[in-house]
Amino acid sequence: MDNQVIIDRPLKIVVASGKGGTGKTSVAVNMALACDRDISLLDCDVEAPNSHLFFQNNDNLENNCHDEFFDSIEEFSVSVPEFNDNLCNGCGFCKTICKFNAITMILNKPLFFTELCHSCEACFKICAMGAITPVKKMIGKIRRKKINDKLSLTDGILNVSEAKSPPLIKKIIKTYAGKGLCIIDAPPGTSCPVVAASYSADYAILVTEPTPFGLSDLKLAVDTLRQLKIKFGVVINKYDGDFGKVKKYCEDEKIELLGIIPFDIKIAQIYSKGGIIVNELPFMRDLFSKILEKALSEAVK
Amino acid sequence: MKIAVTSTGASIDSTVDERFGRARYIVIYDTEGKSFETIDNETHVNLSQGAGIQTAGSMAEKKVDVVLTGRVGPKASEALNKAKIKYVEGISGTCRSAVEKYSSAS
Repeated sequence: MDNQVIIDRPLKIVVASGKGGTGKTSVAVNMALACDRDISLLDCDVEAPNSHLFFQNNDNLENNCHDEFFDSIEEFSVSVPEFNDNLCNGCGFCKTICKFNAITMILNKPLFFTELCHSCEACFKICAMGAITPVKKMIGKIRRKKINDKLSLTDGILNVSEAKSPPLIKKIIKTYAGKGLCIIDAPPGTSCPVVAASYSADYAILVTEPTPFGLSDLKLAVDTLRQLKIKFGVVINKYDGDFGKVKKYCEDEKIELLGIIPFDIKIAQIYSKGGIIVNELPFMRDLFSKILEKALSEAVK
Repeated sequence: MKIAVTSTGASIDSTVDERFGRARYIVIYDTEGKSFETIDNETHVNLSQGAGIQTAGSMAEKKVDVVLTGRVGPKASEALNKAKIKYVEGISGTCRSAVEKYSSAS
């Protein structure tokens, strides 16, 4: 394709949004397929990864885990402390150092709650008695699939009932971003998982919709990215002829508008069957490709 | 026996705070000395997580026998059980009336 931005270093583009359901995954997947580039697509929405749904046969959706679709699956573990009460002298330093309040002292012995632990490993290091040892806790899986010669998909899936996804998200990005172009499909919201998916990115594409909810959550996402000092632009999805206040907000804040995706019944029908928009509506290929190229040209600036 | 009541205020005549971990104060009544002391629980009120178990840790440190409160969460419950501290949920009204009712019933 003409006017392709030249990439001479590893580049990470994160697709994020404050609000859920604005079209992060649709944008990430369709951009990845619209352009003629080698791409590593990382689905970091590890509580509900769904990028793979667009690459597989969706005739049978009974099992929503779809492990069989992937070429390889590895388990992911974090370290949590194990306490030996016989060695403990009851000093309580482990309780004091724990910023996550996962340890309390009961009758001079530590009582630990693994669901509150963030695996920071501070307690292992502070204990002078050797009463705390690290043990592995499996919290999820990393799954990989080669989609075609140019595109590889990696996703993470957090075990049900696990609350802390950032270690898994960071591991996926660190290990599988690759040396070329990487597109990260972030979780929704603006909390720790989104920061984990975004903090190392060169550029962020914020997908929003022209509704009051879309705008409200876009503002939160903008605040987050500004604090992280990550450059970003906005894609308005589901545009039905009325921008609401979203376009004016972007203009007032001098935010780059990367593209506008129409609110179109055909797109909704393709999406609902797990189809690829740029394959079934070839004229959309140009739109998604332009969004990515615009983002890349800003990213390499 | 030491009876702890989660409280919205520092006095025994204050209203019961129905939250356990994030209670503003905890009033502890000693049935032997017929005296009460107040713990300021402010440090635990705004914790992002773990308020229940940390407040339970404070109860263990104060060697409380029973906690009267509105509701104890599952993790705080585990910590109180470990410390062999009984608790009664669904308490409302003033701390004084809660203590009186519990003392007369036990």
